[in-house]
Amino acid sequence: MSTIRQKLEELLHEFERRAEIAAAAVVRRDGLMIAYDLPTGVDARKIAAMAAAIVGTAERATYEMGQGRFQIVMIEGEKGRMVAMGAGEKAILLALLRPEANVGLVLLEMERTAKQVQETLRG
Amino acid sequence: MAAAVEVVKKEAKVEEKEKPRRPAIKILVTGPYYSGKSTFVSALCREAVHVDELKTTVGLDFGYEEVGVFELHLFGTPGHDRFAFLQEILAVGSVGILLIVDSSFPETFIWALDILRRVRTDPNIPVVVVANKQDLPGALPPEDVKAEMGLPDDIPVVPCIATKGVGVVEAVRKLIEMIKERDLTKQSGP
Repeated sequence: MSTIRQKLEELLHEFERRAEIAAAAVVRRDGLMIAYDLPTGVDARKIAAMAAAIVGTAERATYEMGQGRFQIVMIEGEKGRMVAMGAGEKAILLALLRPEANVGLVLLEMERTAKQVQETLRG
Repeated sequence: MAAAVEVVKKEAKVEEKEKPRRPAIKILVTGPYYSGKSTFVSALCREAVHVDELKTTVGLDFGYEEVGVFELHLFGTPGHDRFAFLQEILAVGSVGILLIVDSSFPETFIWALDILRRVRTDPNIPVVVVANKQDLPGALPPEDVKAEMGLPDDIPVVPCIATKGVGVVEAVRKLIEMIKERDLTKQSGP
């Protein structure tokens, strides 16, 4: 019987395979890492805290600016994009996309994975 | 009648534009987690925004309030160590620091000193330590907080109960006084 972390890691690997993305993580909304598959040399703890700060602030800004319910936050870097969305009340799903990634496909798969993460954390 | 109302409205708009705007100063509100920073910002400011999750600040607190001749812009930071990067980011452009500590939890004072070192990049920026939670059993009075933290003479410690709004305005007034003394008001903003 697998632990929650193992289950989440499986979901992340499946997500990465289907969406053709480089890295992903499930982070608690208060900035603690839950499960991740990130490149070597990347500090998972820092990423978790930053993802939580970014999503939390983006959600609040969306609300304050009257833009309705927050959906995703996307950050463009020279070498690729980071996308983050909620995965239930307690968690966030983060993905690192290569520049050539098919964003539409990734977002579809990401929503699907976010729901699965939410169910795993609930049960 | 409609024309008269129009005129009054126009005058009110002009009046607002001409009203001398208060100088805005940026204050950093920081300290270890669970010391009462968010509560402090809410207690002082009539308008405040909090970015928090699962009972802890993950983004920032922001509030503004008129105190004396100034318009204070308070930026509250998260307290957990993992958000150290955010403490540094939010500190930029501050002309004063309020370091909030839980007076009943002296074990956290050392974390408070770490945070202070991290955010106080300019030694000329005044600091006021807010000895919060004075109402809790075992809360150290301000003099004892000062001694425990080994603070220099130029960092005052003031008592506070943020949940009741007690000592909040006094802390801010003390900091403003120090900011004026050091003539930092013109430096406000990035």
